[in-house]
Amino acid sequence: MTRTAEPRRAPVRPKRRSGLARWAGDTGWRHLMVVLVLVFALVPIVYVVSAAFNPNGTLSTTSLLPSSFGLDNFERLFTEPNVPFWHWFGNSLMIAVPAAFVSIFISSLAAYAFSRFRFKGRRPMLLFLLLIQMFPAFLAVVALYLIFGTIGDFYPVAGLNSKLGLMLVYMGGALGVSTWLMKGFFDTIPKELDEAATIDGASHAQIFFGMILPLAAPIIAISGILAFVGTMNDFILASLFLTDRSEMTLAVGLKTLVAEHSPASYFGLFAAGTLITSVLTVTVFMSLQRYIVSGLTGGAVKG
Amino acid sequence: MRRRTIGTAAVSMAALGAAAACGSDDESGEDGDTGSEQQEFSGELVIWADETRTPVLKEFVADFENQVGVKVTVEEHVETLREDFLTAAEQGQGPDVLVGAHDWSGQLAADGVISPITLTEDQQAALNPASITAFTVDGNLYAAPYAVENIGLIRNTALAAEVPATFEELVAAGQDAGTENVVLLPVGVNGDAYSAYPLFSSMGGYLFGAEGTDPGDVGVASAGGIAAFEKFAELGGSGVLSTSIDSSNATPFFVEGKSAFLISGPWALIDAQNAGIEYEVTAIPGFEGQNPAAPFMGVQGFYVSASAKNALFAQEFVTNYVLTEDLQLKLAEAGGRLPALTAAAETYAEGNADVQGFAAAGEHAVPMPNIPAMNAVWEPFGRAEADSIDGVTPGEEAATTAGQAIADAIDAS
Amino acid sequence: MLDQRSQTAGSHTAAGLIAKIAVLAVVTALAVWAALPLIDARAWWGLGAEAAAVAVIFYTYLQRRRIPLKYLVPGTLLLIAFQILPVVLTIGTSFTNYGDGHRVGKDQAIEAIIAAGVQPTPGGNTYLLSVGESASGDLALLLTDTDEGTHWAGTEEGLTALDEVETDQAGRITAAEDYEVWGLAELNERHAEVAELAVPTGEHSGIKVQGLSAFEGTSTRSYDAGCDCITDDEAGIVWHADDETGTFVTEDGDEALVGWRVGIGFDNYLQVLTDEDIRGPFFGVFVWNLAFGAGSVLLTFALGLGAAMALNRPGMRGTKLYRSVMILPYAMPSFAMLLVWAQMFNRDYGVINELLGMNVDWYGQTWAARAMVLIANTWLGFPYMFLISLGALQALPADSLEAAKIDGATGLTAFRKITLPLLLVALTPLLISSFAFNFNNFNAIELLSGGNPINAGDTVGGTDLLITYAFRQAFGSSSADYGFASAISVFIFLIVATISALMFRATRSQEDVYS
Repeated sequence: MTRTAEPRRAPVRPKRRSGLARWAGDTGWRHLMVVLVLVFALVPIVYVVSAAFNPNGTLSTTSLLPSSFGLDNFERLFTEPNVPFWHWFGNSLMIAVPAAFVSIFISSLAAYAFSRFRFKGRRPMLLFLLLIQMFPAFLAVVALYLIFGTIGDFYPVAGLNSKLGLMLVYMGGALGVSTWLMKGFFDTIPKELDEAATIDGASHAQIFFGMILPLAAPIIAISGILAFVGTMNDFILASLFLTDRSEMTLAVGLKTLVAEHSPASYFGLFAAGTLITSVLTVTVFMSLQRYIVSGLTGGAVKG
Repeated sequence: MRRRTIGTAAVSMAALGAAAACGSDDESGEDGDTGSEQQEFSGELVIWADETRTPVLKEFVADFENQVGVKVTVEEHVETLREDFLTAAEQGQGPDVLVGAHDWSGQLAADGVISPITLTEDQQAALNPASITAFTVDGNLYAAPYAVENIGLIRNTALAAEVPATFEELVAAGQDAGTENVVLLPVGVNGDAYSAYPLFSSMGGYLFGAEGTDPGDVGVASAGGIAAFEKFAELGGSGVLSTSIDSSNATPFFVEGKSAFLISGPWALIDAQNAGIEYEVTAIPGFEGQNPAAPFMGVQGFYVSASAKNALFAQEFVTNYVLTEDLQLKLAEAGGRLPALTAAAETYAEGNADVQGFAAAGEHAVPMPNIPAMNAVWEPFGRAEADSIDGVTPGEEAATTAGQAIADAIDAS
Repeated sequence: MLDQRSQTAGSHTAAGLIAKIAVLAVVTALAVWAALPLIDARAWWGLGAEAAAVAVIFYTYLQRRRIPLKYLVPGTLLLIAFQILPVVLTIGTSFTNYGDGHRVGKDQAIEAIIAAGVQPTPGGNTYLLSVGESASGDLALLLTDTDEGTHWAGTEEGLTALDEVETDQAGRITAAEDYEVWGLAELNERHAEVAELAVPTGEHSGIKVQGLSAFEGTSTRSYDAGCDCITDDEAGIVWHADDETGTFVTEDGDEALVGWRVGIGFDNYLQVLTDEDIRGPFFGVFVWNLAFGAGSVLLTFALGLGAAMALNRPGMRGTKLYRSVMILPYAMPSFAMLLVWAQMFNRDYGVINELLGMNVDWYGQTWAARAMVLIANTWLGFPYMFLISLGALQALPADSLEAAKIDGATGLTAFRKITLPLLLVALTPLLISSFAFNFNNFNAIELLSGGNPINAGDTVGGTDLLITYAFRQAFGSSSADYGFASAISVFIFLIVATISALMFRATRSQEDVYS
């Protein structure tokens, strides 16, 4: 399944080339390509890292290598009373994880319907789902304030100033892309599998939960990461919804450190916080990696 | 009893406390008792503030809570406070009180989302007069001012010992210091009208007439305005000013000793102090033979929302509690800005060289215009400044183009 | 949210049936809980909407014929509430004059204009305020004159002197004949009633309460519903309401400070079409905008896919680490990283010029600025492409690859002829949506280049997108015009949706490859 390089390894070709050349053709170019991309990826991040570990780090003076080294920024991040970092951390997790789960679940349902059933309005609905995401969202904040102001009048538990309200918005926000992403993946799972299961007496729900979902683990993990990161990085909605410092999410809380006229040296704190945040995201990603790259057994898809 | 009672803090607050105590004699024993630890609040007052002020305010609302028996909640809006407030208030929601800058007042008043307040003559007399002008729109006062700020000249005393009397002296001293930059004045690729204004005004430039309230008299392309932009071009050409210096690198460069001079506000001091730099704050010098350099004054104040649910106590908070010397002093100590109450400002400045320095720099300061037309100034002004410094456009042409663009934008609305 | 599992488990198994009943029971309970506040507030429209949603849910999961519906309903409900509704509201806004000076309703505008006409009577008295309630339940302001120390009761009839009062040390009345004096708690509770009470002291003057004080004020302005006008007696001004523009204007055309929000039909759309500042540079900007959208997608996709392909090799060392580092740019808050990039491109102090040994004015030259925004935007976007490519690679049908292998296709040929087309089947819609996103990527441009290079007097800059320069027209003047900006949004949406729909149509034939 994951062996796009298979043809190269096939013994069709006689072993003519030297070991080094073979390594270069087979794996070497991969390392080279990846390293090039990583250099590009890491240059701005090295800035952030060196600002985080430089006690005097600021946005503009931090050179690629820190002039001095220390953990002061981390220490201040964890101890300053106005920077309840671990609260922010917890809030972000508390909001992003359930929101990602629910939105992925709902998207997978829709993707299943779009992939497996042919019904009236299917094409227009798919197209609509794609196009609605393209509407410039600058006034969405005003509209959402109106919507949640009204909701809050009746149900304070899900109104403004509530995590639940914010989670509802995030659930709605991730639908379009994840549905399309999953539908594309579901399409590649052979229909013969469904047919065989149906003959065995399985219901559509049993097919979906028992067969499609497990087979689609890689794409579910990836959609989950995308939804999680999108939620973690949102700043505009979260700052409108959460107005108590200890209730804020990481993105909003960290932003308080780089606001206009805050001391330039706060960038070091900010960088330290950003690093910890990204470590969290990368950890989530790593824990899902095994589903992403080995989720499918070749046999299942080959049918 | 003199009328002053209302204005001065201690007496008025004592009165409130006494009133509360009397309340407990009547029918609502527990509620009114200010002494009880677990006070049952019967009302609520919501204040919105930005990320810099919220932590400071939170500490100081407790007194008011106890004296008046209202639960005060301070909600923090990061970066988008003004937009959030407008969005909420136009829908009849949002806070009772908004803490914000004076240059919002024109917009907020025209939007009908804030209520005018009335201060007694004694209260007004106790305040920095410019701070009242700053919050006045169409003859009405819209907020109780509590702090004023302006930029000044921060000098690294190790690199330049003397206080420069003119900008020319400053340039000479900056060159003598042998540092990478002569002076760190934030410009950036888009220009920075706020930081440039002192130099602009020194050459005779002005905005919106003498009072800063006439949208028909822009002043950017006036004779003084043109002279100012030509000066920008000259200083850009000689490398004194540069669009590579912006608000995010100016302070760090100063801290690193890349220049003897930084033109910035009180917020820059924390970094200089942390780095242990010896510095002094003085007035920004004007050009030789020209006007003094007048920076913009920014005033922070407390607005009462037009859709305040608890207008009565919002007004009480804003018109009495905020104007107490005690509170303004505490806010100043926590926030590093000069109080708007003259008496508090004097107490605060005593023995504090930094504050005195910025106060001296603000001697000629003019409140940043609060009329909505100011919104049309920032961008064209900044671009013209950046262009003349970069040498892309000659000073005169930049000034006239910007003046025209601003006038057009004002006419269009 | 609904747990679909149980409901759709169908009636094949008893467990499924039980779960279905349980979830529908929860829905019922939630529905009842949600209905109570609506009934309480007599919000019948809300109750109607809720009933409709519940009815749809019950119908969907109790019927057996329309199976796709069972999978689509939960997403559809969320989509309507949080995506379609905001879009509908924005479109609604585009037909109004909503913006600075026209944000509130007419009543609030009148209130604000009249409130601005209340001034303290020159030489008028100021008072300390208490509030009392008479035996018959009428409210009165109990006032202590701060100058003379006299005591007054203010009712709708006016002021009457009070003789028998008790006061606290500040002079505020704490007990008065005929009145039950409110404590602070009571005042907190019933402050709204105090606001209702108007106490006249003269034809145009009255007692104006402000906090726990009061002063004698003169109201110079009044509203007359008959002529729909506001009169300022002192200034001798009459403003007539103009319901077309949502303003109060004098005969000379002077507008009152506050206006209100009104529908103005297609005016905003006409303005977009006729505004020279928008129409003039449109074509040039449009071409660059297309290039920016397409370039961003191509670069991010090439980089993301390249990395995913390179790492798609079992047994290669370090893949896990590589992959994790690869998504780092995505894990960093983009607003902060755009700030970092902006500093890195600083002409004199930036690391880019330093590393390249150049002195490029990244913000001052059109093509340098365009390269800059593309580089930074590629950095921001490629991990996304990497992730979705990684996902799509897992879905490549092995038999096609086997077939290719048997045919002897190797390396680039196999990639070009087999892998890429298969990948594109799944990814094209996402590439289209990414194109649309970048086409309107307001933040990337605004936070990095700000549209630069723009010289004084230019309406449009070298890196401006349609949305950035059009919004500058809407917000750059002295007042922000949201109605106009909404109309612009609708136009830009129509443009990008048309392009996308065309691309989508062109790829339509690919979809049923697997069926």
